[in-house]
Parts: sequence; C-alpha cells; structure tokens
Amino acid sequence: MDRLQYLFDALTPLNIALAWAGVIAGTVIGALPGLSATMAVAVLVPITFSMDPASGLIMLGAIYTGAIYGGAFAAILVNTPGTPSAIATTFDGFPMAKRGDGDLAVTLAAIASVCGGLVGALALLLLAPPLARVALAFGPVEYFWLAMLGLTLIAALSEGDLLKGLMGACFGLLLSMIGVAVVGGDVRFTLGMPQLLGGVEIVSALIGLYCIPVLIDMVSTPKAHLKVSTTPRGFRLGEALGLAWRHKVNLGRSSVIGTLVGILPGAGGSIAGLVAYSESRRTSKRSRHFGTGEPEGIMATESANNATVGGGFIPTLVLGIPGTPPDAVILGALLVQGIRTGPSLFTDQASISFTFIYGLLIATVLMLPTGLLIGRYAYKSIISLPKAVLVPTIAFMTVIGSYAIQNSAVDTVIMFTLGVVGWVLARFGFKPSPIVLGLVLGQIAEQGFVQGWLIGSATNDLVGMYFGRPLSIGIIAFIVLSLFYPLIAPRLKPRRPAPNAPETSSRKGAANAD
Amino acid sequence: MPTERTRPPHDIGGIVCGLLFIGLGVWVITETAGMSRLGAVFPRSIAGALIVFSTIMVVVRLIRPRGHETPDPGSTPRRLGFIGVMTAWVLLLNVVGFFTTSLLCFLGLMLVAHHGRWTPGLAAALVLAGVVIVTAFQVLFTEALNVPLPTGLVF
Repeated sequence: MDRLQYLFDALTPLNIALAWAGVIAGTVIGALPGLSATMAVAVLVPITFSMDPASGLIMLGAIYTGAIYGGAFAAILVNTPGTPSAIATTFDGFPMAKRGDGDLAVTLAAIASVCGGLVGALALLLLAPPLARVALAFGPVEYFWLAMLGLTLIAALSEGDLLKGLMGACFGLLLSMIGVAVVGGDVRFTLGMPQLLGGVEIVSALIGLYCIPVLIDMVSTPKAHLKVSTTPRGFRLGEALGLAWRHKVNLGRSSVIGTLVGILPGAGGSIAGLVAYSESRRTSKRSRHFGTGEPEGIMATESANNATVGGGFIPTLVLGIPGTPPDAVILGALLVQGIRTGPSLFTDQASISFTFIYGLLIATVLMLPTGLLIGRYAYKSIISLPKAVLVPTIAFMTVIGSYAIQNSAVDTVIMFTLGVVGWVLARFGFKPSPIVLGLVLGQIAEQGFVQGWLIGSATNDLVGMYFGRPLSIGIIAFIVLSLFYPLIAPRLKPRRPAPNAPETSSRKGAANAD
Repeated sequence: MPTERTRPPHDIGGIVCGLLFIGLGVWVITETAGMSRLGAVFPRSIAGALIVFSTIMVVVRLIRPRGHETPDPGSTPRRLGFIGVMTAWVLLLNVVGFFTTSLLCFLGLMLVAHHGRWTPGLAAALVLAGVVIVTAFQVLFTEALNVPLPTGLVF
C-alpha cells in the first residue's frame, strides 16, 4: 500500500509538470552537439536545490533521460551524436534520414528510448539491491573485455574493408592515449604542447569526425542534405510501432543490456549502445543491412542508452557509486538535499526514493509525446532550411558545442582538425566509425588491461587473471560469438535470404523480400 | 561477344595512408622508449598492430589492385572555402572574440554554401537570419547555460 501512496505522490500536478519541463529541457540540450547529458544535469541542478527533495530528483531524472534521448536527433539528422550515448545511432539513423526515412527514424528512436527507459526504471524499482552487487563483481579485466566486445563492431562498421577498419580503430586507440596516461601517469604523444596534456576530449572528437566531413561535402553540391518525401507522412507512428512490435525481442534484449551496462560505474550509454548494437546485428536476420539504414540498429542503440539511466541510478542510490557521469552530478545534488545514499535509502527514506523512481517512470512515458513533437519540428526544420542557413548553423553548433565542453578553444581546434583528417581519410576508404570506436573505448581498454596485468603479475597468475574469471569468460564467449557467428550461422541452419530492401513497414518489407 | 575485363585502378590514396600509418606506428614505438613499462605497454601493442595491419593492406593492394568507392565529385573550391572559413573561426575566436568571429564566419559560410543566384532581398534575409541565430546562441550559452564565451579584442 505504501508503494501505491508513493505513486500518487509522484503523480501530483507539480511533479508531472517538473518531469515534463525536465524532459523538454533535457531533450533540447541533448540534441545540441557538444552539450551532453552531464552538462544538461549540471547546468540545471541548482534549480532543484530549493525544491522538495523528491520533486527535485524527479526533475533531474527527467533532464537526464531527456538528454540521453535528445542525442538521437542530431545523430539521425546531421550525422553527429548529440551525446556520446548516440554514437551507434548515427550508424543507421543518418542513412535512414538520407534516404528519406528521417521521420520514421526519429519516431523509432522515441519509442525505443521509452522502452529502454521503462526497463531501466523498472529494474531500479524492483531489483536495485541485488543488481547493485553486479557492479562490485566487475573488475578491471572485465572492463577490458567489455571494451573489446565493443571493438568487435569494427567488422560491421568497416563497410567491406576490414583492414582499413582495423587500421582506423588502431588510429582511434592511439588518439585516446594522447595526454597523461590513465595508469602510470606518463605524458604521451603531446608533441611538447601543454594544451594536449588533457588529451583528446571525446565529445569534441565525435563532433569533428562525424559532422565536419558531412558539412564539407554538403557545401560542395546544391543537392538537398536529406531526401525529402513529396507526400506528408506525419509522425509515421503506426509504422514505427509495428516495427517495434516485430522487433520486441531486440528491444527487450537491448534494454536489459543497457540496464546492466548502466549499473557498471564508468561504462555509460556509449558502451551500452555499442554492445547492444553489436548483439542486435549478430542476432538479426538482416545483419548485413546494419550500417546502411536498418531500423533494428536504431532500436537497439536507443533502447540501450536510455536503459542506462535507470541502471546507472542503481549503484548511485544503493552503493553511493555513480554509474555514469550525470549520476555523479545527481549524487552531489542528493548530498546537498541531505539524503544519504546506501541500502537503507529504500527503507529509511522510502518516500523520497520511491517517489523519485515513479517520477522517473512518468518522465520516461512523457518522453514519447515530447520526443515526437520536438523530433517532428527538428526534422521539418532540417529538411526545409536552405543550405545557406543550415550549413553555417550546424557549423556554429559544432564550434560552440566543442568550446562549451571544457570552455576551451583547444577543444574547438582539435574538433576541426580531426574533422578534416576524418574527411581526408574517408575519401580514401577509412570510415570514421572505427576511429571513433577506438577513441571511445581506448581509455577503458587500457585501464582494464594494465590494471589486470599489474594484478596478474603480482599474483603470478596472468592467464587466470584475463581468462579465468567467470564474468570474463562470459564476455569472451560473447566476443567470440560476435566475431564468428556470422561466419558459422549459415552452415548451422539453412535460412531464407534476408530482404534486400530497407525495412520500413511490414507490408513493404514483405513485398520486397527476396 | 567476349567482354574485356578491365584491371581495377590502384588504391593510391589508401596505399599512401597505409604508409603514413606505418610511419605513425614507428614514431609511437620510438616515443614509448622513454616511458615507464606501465605507460608503454598499451601504445606499443597498438602501434605494433597498426604497423602489421597497414603493411598487410599496402602489400595486398600492390599485389591485387582494388579501388574503393569514390565520393561525390562536388565543388573543390567550395570545400576549400569551407575549410578556410572554419580554420579562421577556430583560430580567431579566442583572439578577436567569440561573437564577432562567429558572426563574420557565419556570414562567410553562407557565401560558401549558397549555390543559387544572389539578390539584395535574399542577401538581406540571410544576413538577418545569421545575426539572429548567432545572437540567440550567444545569449543561450552565456546567460542560460553560464558558459563564459571568450570576448577577445572586440567582443
């Protein structure tokens, strides 16, 4: 009965209004390249200090979940992940938008984000204490293998040229090592420039590598940026719901992956999205269409990254260990409000914690109408703006967004330099995604690898350290499956050939099947 | 009639990039000589992998020529114009000031990106749009998001 009361507490008009305002603010900030979910929460956290703790927390949770979702807009419409969590959304979102299905992609992203957000929040509501123990079971070697699992995506992202994909990933990994080493503290590859001591800021690099090449090619022709449909098609909600229903297993699996990765401190939405994308591609009948505008890819990424919100709150609230950077900011806000995190939070301060979790569920549901409306507006703006306005506006957002991350002009220079390098490399067949993958996963992989090596050397059990721990073995099994399943699957069972045409609606998909 | 099989062109750009990556790998390995074991183990491994992959790619491309998908041709002067304006933007924003640099470069990119005919009305409308967008973002970031944008010599 108490829990029902907490639900009613969360459903007050004030809390619903705060949740909605938070979702709108978060979605808009997340949609701007360079403004991450962490920044959205950090900028707006002082507003909540004067509020009732539960209401303040509801607003922060709503901002966070909205920002993670908002990252999908820029990823789909301008090939730039608004937040790092949306990296894998660019793989299929932008190709869908280019072929005229941007409206469907935006709606699918909204539905998938809501599904993922609900699964993450329900896990927080029902399974928080036992799931928090998972976070403690993950050691450095498991993080290393998790990063390796993410790197297996290179095969999918190399677009027919695996060697160039592998070279791009190595280049990205080397870029991630610039600055002070994560273990050991060596100053590496800075060319004597103190500006590079902090390393390559990941979000700036993402903006540069994905967005600048698009802009360079956009100005070169008078062709429209995205293909525009001649007939108005609205939100295409029915079509998107049909796709979501058909791929409900993908949605469910990706949401669970997102929740579990969200629980791991430091992993975050980008890794969740990449791992879910990799798994979705491995198990899909249309795996060879991934990277060319496959709706399943968007659903996997967006459900996983929004599931990290609820997942990330589990160690934050139960153990006081923030699962993701925005959780760290929210943890600070909790301390300001006088709330002590820990297992007793769910008993001693149950009214706050449960009202907050129900508020998070409500905010997640509100994301659907909000996302559809904002997404529709963003899509219409992008396709109707003339290039003379669109190009400088996006360029301005890349400059101001990369500057705002650390208030540093160096990040802006790095963003643009990497963008030009990425454009030149792309002209010779080196795609940006493997480089980004290496850059994003580099620090996690190195830290896990070196720490595991240190512990293994100290215990005289290097092999056991890397290959003997149950969780490691489980992740290694997934890596092996990801790499070799596409090769052995056709031999295991005869299968109908996958449809060649892009999957948009059930009728079209069936009609176009080989 | 028998069809004549044409030999695909060499991927010269790919081979040059491969050689540059080999050079990068060698430089990284030489740089790690002065680092601690902990700091050197990972970059050395990755640089080694980069050299191996690049060498295989270069050799394979030389033995079996294989072109790659060439991007859309498009206008090179416009591309270079974009790169030039953006270079000025990122280098001058700290010196001249964020607002002034952004407004000038925004208008510069409008010139580069517009492919149609210019009319006084269109030019006035685009300049107005540029001023509104740059001012709106400047206010959003400095006032609402508390991001201290550099003021430089002008503003």
